[in-house]
Amino acid sequence: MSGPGRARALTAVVAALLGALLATFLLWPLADSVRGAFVDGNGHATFAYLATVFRNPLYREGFRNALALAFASTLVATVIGTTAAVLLDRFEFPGRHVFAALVPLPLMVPPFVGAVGIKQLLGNEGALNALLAHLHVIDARHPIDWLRQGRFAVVVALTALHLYPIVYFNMQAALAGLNVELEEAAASLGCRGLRRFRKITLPLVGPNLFAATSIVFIWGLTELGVPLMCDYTRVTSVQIFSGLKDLGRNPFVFGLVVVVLAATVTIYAAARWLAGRTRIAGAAKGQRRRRAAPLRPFAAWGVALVMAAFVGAAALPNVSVVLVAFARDWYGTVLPSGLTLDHVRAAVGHDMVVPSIGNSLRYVTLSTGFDLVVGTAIAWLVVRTPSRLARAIDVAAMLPLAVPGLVMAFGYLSISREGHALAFLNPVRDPTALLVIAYAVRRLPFVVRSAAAGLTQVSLTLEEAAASLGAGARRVFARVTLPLLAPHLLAGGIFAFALSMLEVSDSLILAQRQATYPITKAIFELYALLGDGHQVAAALGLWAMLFLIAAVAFARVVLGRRDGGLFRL
Amino acid sequence: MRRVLLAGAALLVVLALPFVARSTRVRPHAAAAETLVILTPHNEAIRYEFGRAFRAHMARLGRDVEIDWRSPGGTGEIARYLASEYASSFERHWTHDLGRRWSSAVAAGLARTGPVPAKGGDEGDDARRAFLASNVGSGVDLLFGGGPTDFIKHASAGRLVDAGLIARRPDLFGPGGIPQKRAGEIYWDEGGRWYGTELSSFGVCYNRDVLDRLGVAAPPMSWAELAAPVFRGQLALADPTKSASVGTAFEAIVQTEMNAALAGAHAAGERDPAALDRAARRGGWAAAMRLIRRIGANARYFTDSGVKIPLDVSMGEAAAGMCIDFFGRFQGEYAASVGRDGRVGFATARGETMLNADPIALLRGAPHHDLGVGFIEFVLSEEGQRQWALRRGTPGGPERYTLHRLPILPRLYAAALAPYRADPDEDPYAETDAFTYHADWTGPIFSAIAFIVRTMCVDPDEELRDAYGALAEAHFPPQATAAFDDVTLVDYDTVNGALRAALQSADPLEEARWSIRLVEHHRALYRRVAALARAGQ
Repeated sequence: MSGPGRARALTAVVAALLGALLATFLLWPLADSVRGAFVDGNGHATFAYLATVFRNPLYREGFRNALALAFASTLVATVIGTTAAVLLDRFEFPGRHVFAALVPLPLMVPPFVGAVGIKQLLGNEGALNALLAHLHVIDARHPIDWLRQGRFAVVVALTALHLYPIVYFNMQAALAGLNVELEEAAASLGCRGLRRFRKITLPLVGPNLFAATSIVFIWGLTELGVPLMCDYTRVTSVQIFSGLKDLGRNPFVFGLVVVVLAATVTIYAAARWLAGRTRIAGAAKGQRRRRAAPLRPFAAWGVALVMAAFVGAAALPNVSVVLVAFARDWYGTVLPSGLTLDHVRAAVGHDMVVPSIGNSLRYVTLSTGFDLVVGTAIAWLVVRTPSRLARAIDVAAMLPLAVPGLVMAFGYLSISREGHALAFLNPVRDPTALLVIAYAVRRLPFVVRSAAAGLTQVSLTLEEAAASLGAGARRVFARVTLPLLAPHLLAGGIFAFALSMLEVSDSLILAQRQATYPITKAIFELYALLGDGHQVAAALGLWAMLFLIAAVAFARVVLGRRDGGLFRL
Repeated sequence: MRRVLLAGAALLVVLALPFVARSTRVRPHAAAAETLVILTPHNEAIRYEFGRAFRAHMARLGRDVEIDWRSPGGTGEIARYLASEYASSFERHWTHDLGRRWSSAVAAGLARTGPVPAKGGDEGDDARRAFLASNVGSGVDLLFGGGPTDFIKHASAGRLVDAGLIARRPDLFGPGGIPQKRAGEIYWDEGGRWYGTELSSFGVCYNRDVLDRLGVAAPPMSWAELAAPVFRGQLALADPTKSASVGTAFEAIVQTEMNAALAGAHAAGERDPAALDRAARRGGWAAAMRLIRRIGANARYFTDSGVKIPLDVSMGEAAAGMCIDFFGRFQGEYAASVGRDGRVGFATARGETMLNADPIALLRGAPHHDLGVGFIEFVLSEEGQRQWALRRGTPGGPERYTLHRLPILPRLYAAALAPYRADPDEDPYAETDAFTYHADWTGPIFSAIAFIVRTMCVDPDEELRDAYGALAEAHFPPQATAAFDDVTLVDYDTVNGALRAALQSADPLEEARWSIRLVEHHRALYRRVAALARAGQ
């Protein structure tokens, strides 16, 4: 077989393998879970349940609200993330390294106790009201109900501050690899400042921006935690969650899931088509590093202040979790009234905790490795060998973002029951395999999007040059493509790792025996103890945050050195 | 290189911290000679104390036992898990052991509940008979925790089997032991398929600071007090469509109003039993609907999480909440231990709430049958019951956690144990003001009550809250108030007739049509009430 023929055959095999993988571990459990939406009580096929979803005014209103929240959150997160990435990439100012290190914090807020942390800040008896009362801005007897008044804006702000690191990391990866010569050429022709950013920089970082905004939008569309915390019940995600918890039969909730999935695929495909039309040729990675420009003191402090506002506001839930973990009591005061180490001692000393840490490390390391391999393969297929199958695989790989966690978890449980083909994965005996698959599938979109954006930026000329010098395909990939792709894989890998570490639904449903609990289930178990349970859970959440910060810092230092491109602040 | 070493060292320190600080090492299940598998929604505190106490108990008998606790979620998730596991196991039994063909009719037969004719019927009946005669299992021995409603459903589906304790332990189930029934509530199944292990009820937990802020002098002690407009947006309520126990609490509100209507009709001179019964059902139902609507209008939210309510009340997020008694007592005690004493309080709605048993049951096909029966016997024994009732560290009591639960065994309330009990003032068997539960009034419409609460309060929550706010601000103008109190669309006869039939229909579309109709009716009604109130009418 000739070289190109062999390459085509290999591509076809890889595409078939990836397709089979996604069909088995994404589409099958999903179809199994939502099957109830299309089968009536007598086992006959029906579309009546789906039609009822459209006829229900509450569901229609919920979907309108979800779309509005997603648009607004994406807009705000994009502005914040892009601004932060540009400021940190282009300028030298006080605290730059610290701000850069703090950006990922919002993605590291542990579940359950994160909501407690926000309530400690924004609740009726929370820190903000206590501060305002202390400053005589409000009457302590009439506190502001921040989480209820102007709820839409609060949900948008909290969601955007939670998700802006996704935009930031993607933009940072793009800016770090930007072809500086193009910007310099524009500048030499008189195109400077914001005009140059709009005309040159923005189109060059387009693929990354698309990668980030598509993820943020779909995430925003299906975000559950924030609306649930603000008791915003007329949002699709909350309606699905509520329907899944119904004691009685409710096939319509699965119809609603199908509607959300269809909407996600449509919106994503349309955005992808639009982004494809505006793609700029020659958006190749630069080979020369840009140096951050020093600013005048006044401007430098101004930029530092802007960064402090973004990063500080977004990191407040983390700070609050830390304070909850150490608080003896925190009620109606700006800061805790008394500190104690009891909760931390109870958390790290609890006999459930140590095994859960070991379990999480095992599950998450394996799932992130899986994501990096499979995600890169999918991205390669999509970017380098475009075809209908590749596009279908690309769209399918984005689906996990839009599927409610509980739906997937029950799907996994169902396909691995005794007597079924995948019974050997039954999580009751050992949930490792299924949890690794579940985590990997759920976080796959992050790696696929990062890798695809990276591959779009990697110049084919460089690969062709290496090949013309006699390097084989494997050597070209290992010595040219992979090093250029590494920053993007690192960014995607960090998201996959951190978010898998804090994954909730699969962890709660699939890990049933204490010996197999991951950290999130241990946090849930401690939280459910009442009394100081939420504080002990916050202490374990604090450990999880510290670990993720240390792990990300380590990855950045090690890979940043080797690559010399990304995270080079 | 220095940065790499520093970052690596930081990572190692963080990783090592819990390994260094851990207090005990967990023994793997495989290390024990015998393992018991228990499926439970109970939290870590209960699992820890009963696991420890049972191990010690068995060790005294010379047996080395470990418990394999399985927790796939709350009672809803557990019900779904068990239904799916038994369906899967039975499919194997039906096709492999019995050599018969699997079909949707067989699956539908398995899903049926209740008794099945001894012979005859369709293929579905065949399947059900085969299931009830089989030892098909789920790999789990016991189901521990939930509400009696959940256990009645599992028993009716054939997933629970007789543990044989009623005949074997007359000291527990005979005179002086656990009553089979009290105030209409069942404490153990006469067929021995499930046994109540402790008693719990719903009450009101409250935050005194928030009550002060709202100008409420005395904490609310009854459901009716929660209807006061002063509590607008200040109540943390539980959603009856998510938990059967919460459904029971709403059923208790209906029963209370029905009992009041009965007493009212009696006081008015009515003596005809049929007329009295009608007055109780129809008048009581309408009063209950009006009360639930007003309480619902004050809701900050309806949650599926039992933990969220006491926590939010304790944090001042809500003035009061509908709360399971042990959560309320526990959170109150904790808030007092770290903050101002009495900040959080709990009151049982005396005479307005039912005492539910929290059961345990042996599952069909239990792989460790005898050990499972032994565990049930232990939980019901005085030694086991002490774990629920006593303070931690007391003789025979729990070691690490005080559970604040009310034991079901009456002898645990003996004066001699009072000094050790966590809640010495609580004695459900001494209460004389508990209302009498009339199963025929609300039993058949139990699901309908939850459905009405959802379509009247939970789904149209925004419009309901707005309407009640407008009414209160306009000082309840007559026309608007009359419209708000109109509950004719959901009167007792409609609910017990057409709605009940729709909820029992095999076609879920029937239920959906009712749901959309009722929710849209209520949203329109509340908008009209708000407009009328704002116009001062």
